[in-house]
This record gives sequence, C-alpha cells and structure tokens, in this order.
Amino acid sequence: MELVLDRVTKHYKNKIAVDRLSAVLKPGVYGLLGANGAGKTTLMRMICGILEISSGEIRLDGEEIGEMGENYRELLGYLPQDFGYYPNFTAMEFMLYISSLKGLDKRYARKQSMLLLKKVGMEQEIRHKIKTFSGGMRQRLGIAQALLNDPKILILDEPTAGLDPKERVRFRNMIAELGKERIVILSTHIVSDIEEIADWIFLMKQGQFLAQGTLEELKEHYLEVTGNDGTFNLEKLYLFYFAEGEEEDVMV
Amino acid sequence: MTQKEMQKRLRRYAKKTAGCLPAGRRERMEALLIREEPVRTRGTLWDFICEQVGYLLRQCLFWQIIWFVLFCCLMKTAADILVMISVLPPLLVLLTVEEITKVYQRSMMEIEYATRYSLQHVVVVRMLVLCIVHFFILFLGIAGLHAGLDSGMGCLLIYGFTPMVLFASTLTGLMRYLQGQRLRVAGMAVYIMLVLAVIAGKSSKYGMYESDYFGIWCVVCAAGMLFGICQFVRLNRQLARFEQLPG
Amino acid sequence: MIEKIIRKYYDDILLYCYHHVGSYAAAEDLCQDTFVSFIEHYKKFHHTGKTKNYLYTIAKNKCRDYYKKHAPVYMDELPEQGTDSIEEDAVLKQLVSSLPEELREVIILRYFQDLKYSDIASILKISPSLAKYRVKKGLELLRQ
Repeated sequence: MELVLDRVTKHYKNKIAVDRLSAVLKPGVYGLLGANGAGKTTLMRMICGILEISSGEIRLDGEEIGEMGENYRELLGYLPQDFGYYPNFTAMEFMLYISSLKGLDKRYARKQSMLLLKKVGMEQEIRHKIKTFSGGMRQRLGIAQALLNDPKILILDEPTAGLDPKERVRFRNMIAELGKERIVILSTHIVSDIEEIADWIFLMKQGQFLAQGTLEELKEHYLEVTGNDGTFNLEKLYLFYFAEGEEEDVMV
Repeated sequence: MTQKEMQKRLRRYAKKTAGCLPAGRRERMEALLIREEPVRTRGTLWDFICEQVGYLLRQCLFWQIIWFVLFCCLMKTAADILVMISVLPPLLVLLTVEEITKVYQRSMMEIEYATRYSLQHVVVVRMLVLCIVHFFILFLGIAGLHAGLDSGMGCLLIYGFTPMVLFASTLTGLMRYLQGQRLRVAGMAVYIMLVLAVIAGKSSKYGMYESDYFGIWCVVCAAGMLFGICQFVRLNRQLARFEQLPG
Repeated sequence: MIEKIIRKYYDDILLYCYHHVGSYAAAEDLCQDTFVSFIEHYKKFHHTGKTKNYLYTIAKNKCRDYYKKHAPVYMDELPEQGTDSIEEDAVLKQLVSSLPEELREVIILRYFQDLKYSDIASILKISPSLAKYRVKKGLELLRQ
C-alpha cells in the first residue's frame, strides 16, 4: 500500500495553506510536527478528502483519491482536532451512528464497537451520555470511532490532547501496534509522542516541509546544520527552525 | 435371532454411541464456526437507508402518533377546521427539522465527510423518508376527515398540503445557510409566521378559504413544490462539499 | 445460516463418521473435513434437496477416501457399561464393519442415523425400494 502526495497545494484567497508538498507514505507511523497555522490540519483534511486540493494529486496505489470516492473513504479512519459529538448520544449510540456512516454491517458494528470501547478503557461508560464525559474520555471515544472500520489509513489530529500520562502511554502502544500494517499519520504539538512512536517525522511550517526523516536522520541533519555536538532531541530541532516567539507552541 | 431383535440391538447400540460423543467436539465445532464464511463487515446502501429509517422510527413514531391523535381530536372539536388543517401539518415538518438538526451540526461534520456515507447521504435520506411518511400521514388524516365535512377531498388536500409544502421549501432553503440550533430557531420563527398568515388570511375580508381563491391555492402549492425541489437540489449539491457547508 | 446448519447436524455427521471408521479421533477429523467442504461449496448448493442429505453425501465420500488410505479400526473406544453389554456392542460393531460396503452404508444410515428410506435413497442415489432391499439383506447377514 502506498499513499503518494504529489505537489499537493491548497490555497485560499490570500493565503497558501499547503505549498507543493510531496511525500510517499507506506505502512508505518508518520509524525507531523508544527506550530499552529503550519498547515497540518489542512493537509490532513486533504488526505481525508474533506477539503479539495487546489493543485497536485494524492494517489493511493496509483489511483487518485478523488476518483476512488467512497472506496477511498472506506479505508480511512479520522480523528479531527476539534472532535465534535452529539451530547445526548451515549457512547454506544455514537459508535453505532458512526458505524452506520461507515457502512458497517449492524452485527459487526455492535461487536466492533464493544471491542473498541473496551480497548480504549471505556467499557463502563457504554451507556453514559457523551455530555457527561471529560475531555480525555471524549478523546478516547474519538480514537475508538476512528478504528471502527479497521482503517488502512489512520489520520489523527492532536489525538493525545486531554489525555493523562497513563492514557498517553496506552495510546502510544496502540498506535505503534496499528502502524505495523497501516499508514498512521499523527499530528501533534507533543514532541515526545512523535519521538516515541513515529517511524518518520515531518517538520512543517507555513505549509511546507522544513525537514523530514527518521529520528536518526533528523539528528544528523541537526548536527550538520548547527555544528552542535551536544545532546539531541526533537524539540531542539524544532526550536532551531522556529523563531523564539513560537517556543510556547511546543510541549514535551 | 429374529429380524426385529436385530433391529432392536442396532438401535440400542446407536443410542449408546450417541450418548458417548467426546466432550471436546464442541470446541472443534466452535473452531469451525469461526472459520466459516467471512464475517460480513460491510452493509449495502439499502442497509444504510434501513438503518436511518429504523433510527427515525425510534425517534419520531411517538410524536407522529401524538400528532395524528391531536389532528383527529381537533378536527372533531375545533370551531375552524380549515384553519386547523392548514396550521397543523407544518408541525410534522418541525419534527423533520428536529431530526435533521440533530445531525446537521458543524462540529460533527469533519468526521462525517471522511466516512463512506457522508452527511449528505444522512440528511438527504432523512429528509426524503420523513417527507414521504408525513405526506402519507397527512393524506390519511385528511381522507378520514373528509367524510364528515362538506368540502371536497381535493380542497382539503390543498388546504393541508400547501402550508406544509411552503414551510418545507422555506426550511430547505434555510438549511443552505443555517444549521444546528440556529436552524431550529429559524424553523420555529417561520412556523409562527405561517400560523399568523393563515389566521390573518382567514379573518381578512378576502376569506382565503372561499371557493374563489381555490385556484390561487393550487398555484401557490405548485409553486411551493417547484421552489422546494430547486432548494433541495441546491442543498444536495452544497452538502456534497465540506467547504460549502454553512457555519 | 451456515452456523445453524453446523450446530444442527454436527453431532449426526460425527456419529456417522464414527460408525464408519470406528474411532472418535478419526471421526472428528472427517466430520471437520465434511463441514469444511460443505462451507466451500455452500454457494453452489442450489437447495434442490435436503441439506442434511447433502452433508451425509459429503461425509460418505470422505469416509470412503479414508478407507482407501487406512485399514478399518475395530475394538476401539466402546461405551463403558457392563461386560456383557460391551462384548455385545463390540461384536455388533465388528459385524457391521465386516458387511459389504453398500449394505454397511444402508444399515448405518437406517439404524444408527435413523434416516428414512427416501433420505437414504437420495444420499446413495438409489431407489427407496433398493434401499429397503439392502437393509433387509444387511439384517440377514448380521443375524447369521
């Protein structure tokens, strides 16, 4: 399976949100690191087919995703940054509703929903209304719904926001496992999440990739450009590329 | 040994062996069940439509029955039946608005545009299903009512359907610009205006239920339907793209 | 649908295979093979006859293939009861196993599986009257 981004561009009236990005993605975990307004969410929405691409192409195994239509969306699992929900739905009702949208068989949907809610540690909250959930619980529910259709391409926008450290570790393990056979694209401000689980990292700013590679490759790149032979971590590389004013965007 | 005795012996033996089946066979049977035809994981478009219908049934049937009972009671007791016929049907459309606005909210839409069946499918299916059901309910109500009234069936249908069509068309148009709570509020506002217009029309010197104006009713009904269809087609096109959604 | 069929007929087919091969272990394997073949061909099965008969037909062929590869197993895994009963059953089992193939088949289907002549005829692709004749012949041989 191969997802190709070929000079993908998104421009609005007076702004270029994503500027001629190219990448080849194969099964594994890809981390997208960048400050607010870097274009991460726009890129993810284009990969999901939610936003139209201004120019360029996104192809899955050689086929353009727009032409694939619902066949492409069947392979997707998406957790948006601002994960909305229906407050009066219970967790199970919500999962079944999303299952219906994903075109899942009813019996399979029920089994899968139970399984996933258990996996994210929400088996006790199945019949509780979403409006009673904490932020972390809603986020876990969001992760569960993204996995309903056993997606081959998993797009997670700020998935660990609101999760406590224990939940984040659990989440990281889950993603690392999922990434073995799927393309997982993870966008976050939390550098340690990317460092721990990403096989390939994209550093993004103003709609462009500033750097990309494995953690080792980025380390070499950092040492090359800075001549600094001290300890390396991803945060340092990130800070190197961004002005001082943006430091607060990065969390470790 | 006679034939019968042999038969008895054979049957006795069969019974004994039947009671001695190995206990472990259950596990092997379960293993077989697991590896049977692949579990059906995907439904069809028809399954999706049926699920939406099932969902609407669970949510709306109670209110539809209440409406029908109210309609029948008011028709028997109300002083001005023709006004009631015009004013009550749009309440069914309000029920449609409620069911649509539950899912027609900006916050959810990102997920709903990354799934096999998008928000467009959900909204269109729900609107069409409720439209058909409510037309049918109204038709039944009026058909039942017609027997006890002087007015012809055709007249009653026009007096009942016209406000409903106008209300539905207006709301379909509003859906292109509003959603969620705003759409609900707008729906209520339009309904109140409709009720006032009907009451005003009835009590004015024109007396809009006079037979002279029946032709105008028909024209308005037809125009309302055309307008509604146009708005529906445009809404459907708009719903096809996430970027064109209101909000 | 397949689940229902498996649950309904698993024991019957298992017993049928056991009566042919004399060993529960081998019978279980043959029973599994029977249902696996059935599942694979389920879509082609146009429901022109009883599902049960179709299963027995598959099982019969599986047992026949088994015979070609293995010698018949005797005196194996008898029900535990009084000594006389065990001996009787062992003798009966031996006698049935030593019948000619077509007679053994009808005896097993008629008395061990309790099938009607019409079903036996359908499974063996013979006429019901021939099935009756073979049962009678089989009983005569067993009595001797």
